[in-house]
Amino acid sequence: MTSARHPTEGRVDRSQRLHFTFDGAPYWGHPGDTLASALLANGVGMLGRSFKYHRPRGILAAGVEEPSALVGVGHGGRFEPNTRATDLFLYEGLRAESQNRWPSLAVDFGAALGVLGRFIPAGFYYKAFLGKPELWKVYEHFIRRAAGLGRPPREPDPDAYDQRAAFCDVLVVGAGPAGLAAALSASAAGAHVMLVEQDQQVGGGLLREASELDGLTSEVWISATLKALAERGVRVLCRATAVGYWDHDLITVAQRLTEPGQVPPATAPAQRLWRVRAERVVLATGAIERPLPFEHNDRPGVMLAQAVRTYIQRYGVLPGRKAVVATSNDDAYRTAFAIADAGGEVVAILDSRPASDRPIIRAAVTRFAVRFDAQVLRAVGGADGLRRVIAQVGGPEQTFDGDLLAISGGFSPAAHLHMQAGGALDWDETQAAFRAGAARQSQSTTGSAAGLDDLGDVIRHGWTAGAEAASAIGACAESPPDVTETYPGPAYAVAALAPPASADPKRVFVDFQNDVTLADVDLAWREGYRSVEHLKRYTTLGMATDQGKTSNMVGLARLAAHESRPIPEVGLTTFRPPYTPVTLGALAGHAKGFHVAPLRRPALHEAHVASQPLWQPSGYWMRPRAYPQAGESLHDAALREARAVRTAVGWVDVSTLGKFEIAGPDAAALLECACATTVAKLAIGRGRYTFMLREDGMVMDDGTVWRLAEDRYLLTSSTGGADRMAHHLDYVRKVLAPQLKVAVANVQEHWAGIAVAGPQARSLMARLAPDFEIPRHMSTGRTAINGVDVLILAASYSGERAFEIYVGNLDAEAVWAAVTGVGQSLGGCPYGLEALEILRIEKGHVVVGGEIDGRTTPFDLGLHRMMNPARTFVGAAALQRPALLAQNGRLQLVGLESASPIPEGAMLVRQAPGKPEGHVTAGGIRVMGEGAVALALLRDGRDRTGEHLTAWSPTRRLSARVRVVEPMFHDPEGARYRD
Amino acid sequence: MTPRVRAIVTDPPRFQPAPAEALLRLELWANAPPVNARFAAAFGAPLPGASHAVTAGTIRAIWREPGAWMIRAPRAARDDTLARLTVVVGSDGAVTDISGAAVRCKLHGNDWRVLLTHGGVFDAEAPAFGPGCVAGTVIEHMAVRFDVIAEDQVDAYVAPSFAVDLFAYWTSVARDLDVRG
Repeated sequence: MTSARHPTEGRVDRSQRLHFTFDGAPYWGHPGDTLASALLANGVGMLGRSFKYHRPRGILAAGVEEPSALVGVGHGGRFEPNTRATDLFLYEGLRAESQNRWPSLAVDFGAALGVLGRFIPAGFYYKAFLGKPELWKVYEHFIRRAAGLGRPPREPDPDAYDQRAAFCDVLVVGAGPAGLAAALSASAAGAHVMLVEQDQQVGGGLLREASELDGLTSEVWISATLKALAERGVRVLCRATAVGYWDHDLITVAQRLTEPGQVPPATAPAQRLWRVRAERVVLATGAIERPLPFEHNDRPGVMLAQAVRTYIQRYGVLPGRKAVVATSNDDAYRTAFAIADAGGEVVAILDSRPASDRPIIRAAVTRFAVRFDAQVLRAVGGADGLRRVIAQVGGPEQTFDGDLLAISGGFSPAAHLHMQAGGALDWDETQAAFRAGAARQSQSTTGSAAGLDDLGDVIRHGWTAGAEAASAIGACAESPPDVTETYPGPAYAVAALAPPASADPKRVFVDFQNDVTLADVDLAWREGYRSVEHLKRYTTLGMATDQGKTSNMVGLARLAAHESRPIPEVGLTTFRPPYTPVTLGALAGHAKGFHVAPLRRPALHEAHVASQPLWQPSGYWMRPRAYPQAGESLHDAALREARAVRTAVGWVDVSTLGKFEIAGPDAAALLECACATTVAKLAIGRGRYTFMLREDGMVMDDGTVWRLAEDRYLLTSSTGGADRMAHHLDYVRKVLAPQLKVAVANVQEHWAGIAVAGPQARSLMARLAPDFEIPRHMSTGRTAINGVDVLILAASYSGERAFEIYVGNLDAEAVWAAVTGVGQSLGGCPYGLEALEILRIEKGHVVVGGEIDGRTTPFDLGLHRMMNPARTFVGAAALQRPALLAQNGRLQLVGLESASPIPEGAMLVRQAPGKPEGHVTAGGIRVMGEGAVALALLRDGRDRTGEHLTAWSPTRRLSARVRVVEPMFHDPEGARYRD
Repeated sequence: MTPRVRAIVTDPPRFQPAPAEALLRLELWANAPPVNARFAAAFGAPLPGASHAVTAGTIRAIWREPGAWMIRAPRAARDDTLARLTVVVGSDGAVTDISGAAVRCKLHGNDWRVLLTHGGVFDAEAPAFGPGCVAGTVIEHMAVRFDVIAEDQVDAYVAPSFAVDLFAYWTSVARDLDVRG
């Protein structure tokens, strides 16, 4: 190519130079340049190799629709692959590299695949890699190496990302002429307006046109408009792309605060993801120019006509010296004028339409060789650029020498967001394009996105759309700007979706990014892929980073022609978010690394930190898993801690348990409804185990309930189920029983909890509170420890005599220190979740997420004896369903014992390999004895005591022979609870 | 029209953890008007309406949900306040000590509204959300409740288990707060 910077044209800042490299070679450009315009200004027209055949690829477009000019940019963890050179604004020190080539862009061994192209058509993978499944392991290695466009960075991303909410009366998406007009009229009506633009500058199509608005050049008018919008408090975001339109008019906007690969200022985020809620949304998203189908239409030097005009008018770059313009509409004539006015030669205008007498065409005929009824048949050139164009002009072939072919096959309104919002699409037969139809949410579409292509119409329509969107706020008393153009009027585009009949479909590219040709579409149709969605997935047409923005319509037209059906009947693939690629960093926001989720620290966190435990996440909580001593493994530490509980005393932080105070004359009635066990008869100062059901009868959670006073109860539930229990109680109180005189307070973090357990637990309590009358099992008491008021619940989870000490959150550390001091003198130690698990398995206690897995009923877990089925409580009715009453065939809780470790999660089979009849929910060991024990859910398990099975985990290659027993391995009589 | 977007960074938020105080939950199941009258007689101001808070003497009454308020009182006055509130609600409601269930952080600086738009879905920039207003929302997955004290101060209440993470997040955002957005 012979592209070069024009000496005067363009809106870039020529007073400054920005230095950058491409494939290691140094270049420079100006602020305002994209990488694409800067490379063109430096005479670089080939930017990469195509995905499949490694064909040389240049620059097709000037915006986000670019399918070919993909580069890798930046370095280290900031490296970003598959970045569109047309959507990457230049900055000092930018480092870009071409993709999909080896060893270099000029000499690419992969180009040999182009020669083999006929052997690797669409669906090649599905046909070539059939055979023995084992062979896939061989294929996979090579397929994975060949697959994908760019290479991802291997290092962690060092940048920060931000997420932010915004609310407005009117959100205008797109700051082209229609969007600016809409923002002006809506803000003039008094609406709170937000305007987002994916480009670095506002103006859209105005940046490439020499039009006047209200007597001002477009540049001056844009500046004046921005000033007016700022004065009205309009929030204008540039480099901000509305990537998703979700339910209830939620729009996600991805904003680049720095360019890809650029180092942001210290502590500043690189990108921000906005969640915008708008009362009304005006979609002024423009239209995307379509390429023409002809042989070798993917060659470097073939560019969209509007893109050529953009490079000249906005960036001051002439992409070629000798240009051929091929079009199916009037708009490309403007490009011919721009090329000629910038000093380029327009060899010919090839118009696929019959001759006409409109002013713009009359003017062109006087300056250029205009050929009507002319269709490009073939582009001739290579990696070094375009050399000539062969066209059919009224039938015969003619050859036109040139280094630039500016093509325009019409326009596809960018209706992506409209469709994401559930909007319908209408088919415009004349322009062969889908445009926004009926809206399902609060959106309207305007400007080119609505199918308009006359600038005056676009601005008036945008103005009206903005005013209407703001009509609930007020009326707009102003008028839209007057537009003056040299050649006003629409583009009169006609369909140009098929190549000349003599074109070889194997060489006519439909999807430039995925190397999909018309022959691939033909093949897919012959093989039975009639649905456009199936066609897409079989051929990869319209997939990858550009999502077919320039390719969908040509492929669709080809399918429709085969089907002998109109295009709208064949349909269009669904537009899904995101509109353009979004980095994972923007989606993750602050949540990365250790803070991928917030961390909940219990009141005793700092006390635990001092003990240097092994930590275990438990929901959002971080809890000690074990307190290993020097040289101890996790297993050894947990066993030592569990044995301390069985032989002396141990203490564990249970602050994370769900806790609720329920007060009022109807407190018991509320609990009777929320819990499946009887509560009403509980005496003051007494407690009992309870569990709760979902409305479908499945066990949801378990805990204890304590009567603290005449009208006041304390309900505890599991750590992981605390939030769910809060919702459950809310639901019962506000929906099922709003008549009850009861108050529910979530006191989960009001109380910190310390459980002390073991044969010495009573002694420990006696030393902590010498005058305290120690409560018997499942009783409560109040006392003071180290001068701190505490509530004592005599409950056991470990199977030993135990007490839960509840202390105000703010005073927890003092009580923990007192327990530790006395406990150690009794030969005890703190214990963590690992020991807790071992102890509870041995005692046969169920746990949420293990045995309570959302599919188990009280009967399955052996809890049914505690229920009074005659009572009304949540889930009671569902338990009467025939499938649950039958009982047989259900997974039931059992115990397992074995001489060897029982793998947790293993299937239970009669003999391995075999049909699974259940699974191990929790595997443990005998704390004071030998061998392993486990809890399991086994089909009809309660009737199978004594059976021998195999716990089999083929993926881990583990198995153990087990015997089915009662799910209780320690003190089944409960003697150890009693003093 | 009150502009919702200001043009420059003027007063980035600063944080000041508040000392621990007593927190009580007051919940009514019946007869709200007479309870409200008794409350006004006892504390000098009626209970605040929905989404509002009021200072009455040494206590701050913060609306939580229909029929429920959080009362903040000096720690030393916890038992006394609990007793007085129990008398006020009588048989029409219940009062529960929830001290320690939330920590309070004072955010000073005019741009606290901008800070609170980060990491959540809350319209902190709504001009109507002024002094005396309260709201609950979720920021970075953490439940937070705001009590607007003045145009340049808001109190944030969060469960103590989340406090370290939330304040660390706010600190990092406030370091480079971009008001222009």
